[in-house]
Amino acid sequence: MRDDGAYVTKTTDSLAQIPSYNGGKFPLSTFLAERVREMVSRPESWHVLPDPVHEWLRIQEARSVIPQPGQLLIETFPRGSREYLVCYPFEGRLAHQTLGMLLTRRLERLRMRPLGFVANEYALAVWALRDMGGVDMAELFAEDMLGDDLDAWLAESNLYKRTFRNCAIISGLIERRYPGREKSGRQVTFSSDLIYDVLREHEPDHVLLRATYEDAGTGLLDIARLAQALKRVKNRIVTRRLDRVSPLAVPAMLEISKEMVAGEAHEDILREAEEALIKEAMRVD
Amino acid sequence: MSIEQMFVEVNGETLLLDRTGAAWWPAERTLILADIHFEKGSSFATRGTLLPPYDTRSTLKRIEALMSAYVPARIVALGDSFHDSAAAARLDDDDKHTLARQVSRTDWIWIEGNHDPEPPSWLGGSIAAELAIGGLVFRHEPARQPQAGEIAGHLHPCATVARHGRSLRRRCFAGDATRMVMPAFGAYAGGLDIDDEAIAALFSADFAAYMLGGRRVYAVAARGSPQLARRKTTDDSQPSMPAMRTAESP
Repeated sequence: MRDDGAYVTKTTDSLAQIPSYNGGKFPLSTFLAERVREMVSRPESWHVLPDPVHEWLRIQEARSVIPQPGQLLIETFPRGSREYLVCYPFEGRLAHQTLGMLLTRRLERLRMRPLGFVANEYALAVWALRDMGGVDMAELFAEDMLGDDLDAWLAESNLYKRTFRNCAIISGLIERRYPGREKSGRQVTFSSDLIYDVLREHEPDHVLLRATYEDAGTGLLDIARLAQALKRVKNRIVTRRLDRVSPLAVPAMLEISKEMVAGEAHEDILREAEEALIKEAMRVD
Repeated sequence: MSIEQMFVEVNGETLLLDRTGAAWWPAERTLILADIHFEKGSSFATRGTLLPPYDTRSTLKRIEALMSAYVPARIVALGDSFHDSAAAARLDDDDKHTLARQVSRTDWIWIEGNHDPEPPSWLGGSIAAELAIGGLVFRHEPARQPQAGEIAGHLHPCATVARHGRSLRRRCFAGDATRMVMPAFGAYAGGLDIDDEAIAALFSADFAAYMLGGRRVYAVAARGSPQLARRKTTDDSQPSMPAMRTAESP
């Protein structure tokens, strides 16, 4: 890929390659989402699905549960040094991304130390330093989360900072760096995050900030659809505490474009690094 | 090692490291600020890179907060306080006023830096190439040889830790029991990784990175430590040292 062109060479390989790229992620429509939920929930309709999918759903049924239409399945499990919460609203990436922002905000308040989240078309995975199995999920997913004081949280988010970076590049304020094209001697690139923070402090109504909020609000978040979804699943939340990752959760775990949460977890990470130093210093051998 | 307040000992003198990147020397009621780089934003503007011109104001605000918190008898600005020789003249009237008032409130000492070999005298305070008080010596650029008690700036140290699949890069103090390099205080100042030879070579054996966190300063082992992520490529927010030099000394 170079600029907006793709360069292709012919191959003699008999196996077809399927290209995939991040730009191909369009939100699942509400109608399609409903049909997917319906199809997944009825084992008798699974025979139309390819065998591997069929098998994964069977194992999901055995190890966790298959969510019924209208239900929201939430699974929590540990993996590596982190705790995961994966839920399956089937509402498309934008609504899930919005939910991710809101949930991590709430989890931060509950001192779960959320580290990040990733959304795909049918699921949202959140990871944290603390076990989220004991959290009251009905409370956590309550509709009133949309009324939460979100502005400050969003403004601190990497999502907004990245959007700002794009706006700053378009405006010519900073230059984009391309891999393989090293900076010339005199050129100094500048952190868009530093500029973002200074602008927010001194000129909150700056046109680039307004452009950022607008871009993020329309292209990255879908509040209306999330509102519908939260209303639909009210009182119909099913939770499962698992000892390890479930088949349904795997695709979300493998997803690219993870969002990092800038919260107390940062302080924890620094503290842990510090504790390692103290431990080393206090070791008597 | 106190946890909420990070006290360190340098050549027998006790310093409190503030999470803003300033150091407080209680015995002398002295506040130390390195690499303030006033008017870096407007300096870039003269060369065609337009940045929001609020870096000076934002830095002054942080100095004001520190002065209210510590009530220092003396402030040592460790050089590169002004981004270039014309920087002081470019100060906005309000900012000029604020700074002059801050300078007049304490015994303010401008140490000469490579960016500001002649700090403006009309702002008040006194000017020195270096300054020795008690067991400490304040100078801008750290000397290459071992220097007991040296408190220097110039290098803008930063450190990175990686855990739980996250990596965090923060400005930091770099120091052992004998000397210390302070983080840059200026809002737009970049940074240099502490495993760079320019920093690592200053310390004989073990030295620590005192990283600036959101709530306090965290001490992390700086040499041969698995805690510290190695990062050879600097990201764009933190220009590497050679790039900074070419750009900033026209």
